[in-house]
Amino acid sequence: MTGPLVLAAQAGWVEADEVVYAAVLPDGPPLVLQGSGALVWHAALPGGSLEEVVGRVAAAAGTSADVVAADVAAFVDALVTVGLLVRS
Amino acid sequence: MGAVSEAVTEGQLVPLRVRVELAHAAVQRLAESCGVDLLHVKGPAVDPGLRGHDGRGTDADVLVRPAHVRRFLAALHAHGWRTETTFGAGSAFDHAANLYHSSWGLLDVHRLFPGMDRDPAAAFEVLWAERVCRDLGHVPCPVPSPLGQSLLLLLHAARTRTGGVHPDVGPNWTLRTEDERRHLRTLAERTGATVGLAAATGELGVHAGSREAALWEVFAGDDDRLGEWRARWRSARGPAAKASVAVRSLGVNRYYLRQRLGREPRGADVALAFVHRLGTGTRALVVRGARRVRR
Repeated sequence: MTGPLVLAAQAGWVEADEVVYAAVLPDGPPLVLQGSGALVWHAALPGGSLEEVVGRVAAAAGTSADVVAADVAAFVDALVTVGLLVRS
Repeated sequence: MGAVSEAVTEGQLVPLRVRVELAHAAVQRLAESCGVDLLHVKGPAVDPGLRGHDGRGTDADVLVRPAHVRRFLAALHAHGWRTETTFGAGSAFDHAANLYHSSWGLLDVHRLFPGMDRDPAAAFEVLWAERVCRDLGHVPCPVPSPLGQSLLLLLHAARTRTGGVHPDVGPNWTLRTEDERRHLRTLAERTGATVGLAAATGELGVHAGSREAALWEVFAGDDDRLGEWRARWRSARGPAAKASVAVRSLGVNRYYLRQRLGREPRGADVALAFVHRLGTGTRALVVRGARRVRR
């Protein structure tokens, strides 16, 4: 699937002190997303295309999409692989 | 760009309050998957305005529809939870089993709430019918109504020795309006919790001499462990229940023993703990005997 990204129905998450703890429920384990990882998480929460997520990250980081595109794409792939995000 | 950090095992890198909240979310998803009705209680499930203290708790607590308990425990065991303490081993009320999961830590599964033990199924139905929703770990979780939460907090306060007024009594009773207190009394009547509520609000004397009051009197005073078991004996209904209380009064809780030892207890440890517990019971008897002599 290559459709828009959405948060998985089985995802649960808590943020504390700017660190995101996210897990596929009910089994886990929780993953720790901090720094730029937490930034991408928040950029992905509204859903949308990868380009939209990249754009949100770039805007939040105050840089151009070209600079972060590859890293964001790899990170989003990782979140899809573990089941926290799905491509609808 | 940071990467997804390594999978966390045993919750080492996850703050306790985060782990407890995620535990609530995890068991909610599990309950939904197997058609189990449960209410999230205590800790992060409580409306912040009703909390009388900052204590966030070290485990997640859920109250399960009694008819669904067996199915829920089977689902928990199938998903990595292991039983640490069975219903009969935890407290004077036989109310909760304690389970552990490597990702989520400790979970208390309540098959009844102490103080609502006359008809747990009917009490659950009353609370369930008036449930509201609270997001825990960004998962919608059913919790009792604010009034129901207050009643549960007060019942819990009534059996928690604090050496004074429990901090939850203020926001849930003293600072409530007279109209709200009237509604709380009505809810207590509907859930069979009238005596427990009286214990929480210092009005237990009205029920003095009743079988239910005996157990609450122990928590209200500074009675010893033997007193707790004697009260449990008095409040048990029927010969079978009384025999069960007698046998379990000297049983060894392997979970608490493991916590104390810092390792898995071996047979010799359990035997020693049993002897120690027998000794504790004997000493309590001796002290009581001495008190009686002095009187």
